[in-house]
Amino acid sequence: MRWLAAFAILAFALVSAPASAARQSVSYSTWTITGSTVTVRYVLPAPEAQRLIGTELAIVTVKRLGAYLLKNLGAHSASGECTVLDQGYDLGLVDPLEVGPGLYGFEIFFHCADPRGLVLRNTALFARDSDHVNIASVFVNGRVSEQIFTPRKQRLAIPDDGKVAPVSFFSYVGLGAEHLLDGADRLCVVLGLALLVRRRRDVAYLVGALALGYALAAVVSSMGWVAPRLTLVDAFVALLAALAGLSVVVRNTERGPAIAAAWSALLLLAGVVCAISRLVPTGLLLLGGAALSAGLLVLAGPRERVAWPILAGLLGFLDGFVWSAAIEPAELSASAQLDMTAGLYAGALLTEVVVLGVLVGVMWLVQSYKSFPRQLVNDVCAACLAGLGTYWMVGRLFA
Amino acid sequence: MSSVGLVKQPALVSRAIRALWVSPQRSGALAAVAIVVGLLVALASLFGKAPPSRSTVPAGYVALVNQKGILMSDWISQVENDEGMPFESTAPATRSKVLRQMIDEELVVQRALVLDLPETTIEVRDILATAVNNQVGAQAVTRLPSEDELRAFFEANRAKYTERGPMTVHDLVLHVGGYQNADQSLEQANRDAAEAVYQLRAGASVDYIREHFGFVPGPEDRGEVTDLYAKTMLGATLYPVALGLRDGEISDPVATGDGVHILIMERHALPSVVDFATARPRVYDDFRIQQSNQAVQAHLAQLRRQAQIVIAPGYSE
Amino acid sequence: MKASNLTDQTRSFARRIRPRATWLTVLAITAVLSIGGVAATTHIEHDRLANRLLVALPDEVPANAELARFAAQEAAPLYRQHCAACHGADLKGDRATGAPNLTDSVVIHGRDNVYDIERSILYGIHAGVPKGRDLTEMPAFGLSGRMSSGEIHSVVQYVLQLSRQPHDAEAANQGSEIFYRINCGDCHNPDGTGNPDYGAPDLTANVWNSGGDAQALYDAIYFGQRHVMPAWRGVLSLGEIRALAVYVYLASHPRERSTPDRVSQ
Repeated sequence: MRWLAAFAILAFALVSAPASAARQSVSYSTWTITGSTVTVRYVLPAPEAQRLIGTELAIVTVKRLGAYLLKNLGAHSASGECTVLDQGYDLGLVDPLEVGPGLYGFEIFFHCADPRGLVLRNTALFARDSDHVNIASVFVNGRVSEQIFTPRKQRLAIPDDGKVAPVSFFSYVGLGAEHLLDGADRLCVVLGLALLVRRRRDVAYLVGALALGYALAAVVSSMGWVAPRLTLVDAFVALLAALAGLSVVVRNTERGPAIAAAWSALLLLAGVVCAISRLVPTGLLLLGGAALSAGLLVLAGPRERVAWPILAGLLGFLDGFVWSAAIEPAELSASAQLDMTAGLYAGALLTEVVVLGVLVGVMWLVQSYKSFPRQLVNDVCAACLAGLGTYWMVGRLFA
Repeated sequence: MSSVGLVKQPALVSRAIRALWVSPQRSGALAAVAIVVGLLVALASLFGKAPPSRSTVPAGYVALVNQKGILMSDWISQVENDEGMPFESTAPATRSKVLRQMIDEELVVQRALVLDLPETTIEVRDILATAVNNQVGAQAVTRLPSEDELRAFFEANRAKYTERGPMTVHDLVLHVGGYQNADQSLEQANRDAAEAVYQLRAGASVDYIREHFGFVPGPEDRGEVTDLYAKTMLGATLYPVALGLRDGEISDPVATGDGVHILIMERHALPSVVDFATARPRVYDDFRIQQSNQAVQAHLAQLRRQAQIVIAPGYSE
Repeated sequence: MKASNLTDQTRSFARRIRPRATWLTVLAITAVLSIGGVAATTHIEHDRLANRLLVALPDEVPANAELARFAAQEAAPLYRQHCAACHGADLKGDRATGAPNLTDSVVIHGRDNVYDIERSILYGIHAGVPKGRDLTEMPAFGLSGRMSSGEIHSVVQYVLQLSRQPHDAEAANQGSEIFYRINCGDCHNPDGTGNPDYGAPDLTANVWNSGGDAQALYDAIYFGQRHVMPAWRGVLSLGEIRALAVYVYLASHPRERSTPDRVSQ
């Protein structure tokens, strides 16, 4: 009966869940204010431009992107809306730039008759993607301050004395928190970890492991040796969610170890097939996942408490690294980059801790009610996690 | 320790797991090894080499322009071509000048791509298309044809190697509207021309026809001309008519854009069929061109297979 | 087996093997760290030399013993994998494919230096790449009907004369007239000494890619020659191409090698 209910809900979850990842949607802009002229240089990664197809653009061409940005970028001052300058020759109102592979770049000049009361406007991509963030550097009279444009902050007022306060550390914290709350796969990993917790000490171990993961990500990403393959990272996060669910299943059921062994064997087989089919990175990921699963689920046995922090640490490491990769094209100063990275990591970590704490608290609370079907809920959640994680992983690897 | 692993397991799995769990050290070590190996393998797939820093020029290149490199070998080649001397003999100032020119050229080329010049400029499109087709064609002509292939090609295209003889043809034209006879309509001109043809075939002279019907000599009436010249002189409409005329024959009236024409064939040498040995140089060249064209068409077919082509409703290709 | 017996046995077993396990673990960790350290050091040194090899101007490399040795070591397996099929495992060429002997001093395309060898590897010969060497090709004079069989025979005798091989003097005389009439000198130079800008070989050197006997020369003139060397840019990395260029250069300049076995087959 228990398992029937679990499978029914699992089937429903699979049918309804899209295999979408919590991908950072980021663009970059540089605003230079000199006297009555405002110059904006906007850089957009190609995948972000592709997201505009269907809603804002029929097809992505340089010209259409330029026209789209012309509509969505602007400056307003005491004299009204600043006019866009025609840059002459073949340039027109929007000058497309060559900024590097995989990136679109544009430059627009605005002229404000009266530069007082200047307000910069950036509404690009927010209507399409509520998670989009634009990392901006604002140069006023030679001084630079880092800002961010978000769906809730699409305008930036420039004081008349030119002293723009940089965005606060807590804004970055908020951004990191928001991003994590939008990421269903990451929340699922946290849910799985919460289900595994038995004692208060376990919560501390998990939080510590998460923090260690983010710290390691900061160190490794700053060295610049490696760059993440984002689609595979998303698939691996889904695998972590599945592993968290399976850890609960292994602990709770009589056939747990056999199920775990079968899971590892399946991953192994899939990895071998992919490797033979020359899908080498995917194959390696599956083979690594098989070994990791075998170690965590089958062989760990009574030492399962060693396994969970590894899951938590991996989540922190990967989430942190993906953020670093998203910030890198902004070419911020070292201090600004550090500030932003620390804020984003802190926000994500704080959210994970809070979510973990809330879930653990709720579970302990309901445990005291004997009539509460604790085991059923446990099994259902574990099955959902395992199923969803597997579904997302397969979808992200092979879609 | 949970007793789960020791109760109600499939026999083989339970024995295996028991063997491991009886020895906690071994199972722990194996678990650690599996976790470490799994992490290493998975992380190897998750991370690749970071792209090179934007501020350093990768080895082998002499400059980066918006992350696009100028190859050192290309720069050396350009210096040598410009100066006409080995690179070692060139002055540093010259090398710098050439590098500056190459950077300028790269900027402009990148600009052309950013401005979608292949989209807007016909010459650019032509050059790009020609360059690709030349590359494809060049690969194809590495295979030399055999004797049999050349002969088969000659037989299949014999008409191409038939040499038509020269002809002496006179072209008389009765202009319609816009010329001397502004009031002459096409129908009237056709009737007049038909009558003129009848008269000519009955033995009337050309001077009589010119005087009584208003025909004038065509613009390129120059006596005996080669077949190729006649083709150019008479144009696409009149040339096929001339080909069908033998010595002394007179054509039916033929209407063209400037009026109604009558062709009088004075002398038309018969075509001669060239033998393979004589036509061989042309056959060889034409075969190589065909090889190249076939390769280009095959390449185009492959591009079509790989492409997603959607045509708007109501239109077809 | 009861759970209590199992636990006692486990504990007893664990007590017995614990010291050995500890030492084994320490040994294993030390071994892994040592191997890792050596591998890292080797990798760093390799990267340093690879970078220097590319940063240097091509013709400066053979004079630097360290770089030349490094290039040869890197290039040897690459040559076996990509080049030996045409140029032979011993670099001495292949008459069947017309791939030239890389160990002699005769140069067909470009000059006898690392830069020009590298250029040939980068962009190929008759490979359809505009930056490659593709100014001319040897036409198929016989197949295309531009020369008769007798004329080709005469020219063959003339070429044998130029390369100081036994020949028929009278036919060679006729051949020389045909040589000038057909404008062979436009590519091979009027004196037959060849032109590396066109890839037209020196007919006087008596060094032949596809054979220098009468039959081979007849076939070359009758059927023409258009040997293709692929363009390796984009297939091999710039470092690999540089290493191969140095390797090939050293194969034909053994005195510039500081160790005899640098260019090993």
